[in-house]
Amino acid sequence: MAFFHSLQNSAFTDWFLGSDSIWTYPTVLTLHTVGMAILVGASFVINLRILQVAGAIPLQRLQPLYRFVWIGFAVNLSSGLVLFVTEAADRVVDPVFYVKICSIVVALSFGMVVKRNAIDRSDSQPAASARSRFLAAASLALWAVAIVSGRLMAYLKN
Amino acid sequence: MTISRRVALAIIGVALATGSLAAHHSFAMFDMEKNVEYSGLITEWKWQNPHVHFNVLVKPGASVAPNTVGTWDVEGGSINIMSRQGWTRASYKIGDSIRLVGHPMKDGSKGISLFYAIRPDGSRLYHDIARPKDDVKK
Repeated sequence: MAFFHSLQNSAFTDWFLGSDSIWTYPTVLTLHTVGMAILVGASFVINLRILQVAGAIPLQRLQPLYRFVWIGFAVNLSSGLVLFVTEAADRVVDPVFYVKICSIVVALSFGMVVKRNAIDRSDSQPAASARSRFLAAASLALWAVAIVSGRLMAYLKN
Repeated sequence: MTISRRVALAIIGVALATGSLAAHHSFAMFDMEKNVEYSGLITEWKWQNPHVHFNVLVKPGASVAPNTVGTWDVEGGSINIMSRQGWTRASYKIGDSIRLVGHPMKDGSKGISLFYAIRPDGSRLYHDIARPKDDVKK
């Protein structure tokens, strides 16, 4: 816990939160939003196709979208780490933060399973299996939970 | 009902269920209709994003309203919003005296949403662009 307090009270945090420049906190927060749009946007398109929305598109054609999943994830992992450092001690005891992180980890894992089972197959099927559809539906719900809990972190802060 | 329609309904359900939770951070917890004047000393000064915060110690005295006595956590806007109203990180420092008007918490706890500070010359330093209708530019 002392470690998280030292992060939150570090000179970096003071500089980052107290800077008069819009290139610090406002920019990193904006990047976190843009990264979320890329990551969750691409994930939504993939999952909706698994659920037979735009069913005429061959499943294999979804492969390039995973590049955007990873670009969005990289942007948000890095911007998220910076934002976490500035309130580390508050966040490690915040249940809403854990709901958000767990939702993201599970949604991404489901996304990877869907990729392996339904998209990367050489014998591409016109429709995904019932299991893949279940995982896609669960992913959609988990991304919604991640976004809502992420937003609520600012409102339920103690 | 198709699967995608069911999924959409589930997502909307989750969003509605969580949306009804009590909110901090918005102005909902402050009584925005009530303007209370406080005079005290700055005991903590946090010029930081996403909200500037400072603590004000109001000591009891003959001319002090008893319900304003205590240490108050005053919440302002972001650095950018307050800078555009003329605030700087050097506007106040720990130990300075301050007169301010703010909106108290609805639940009676010692929190204030900053409306404006009153400088020694009587001019007002607003938290953001909100102005009372009867405000005369000084």
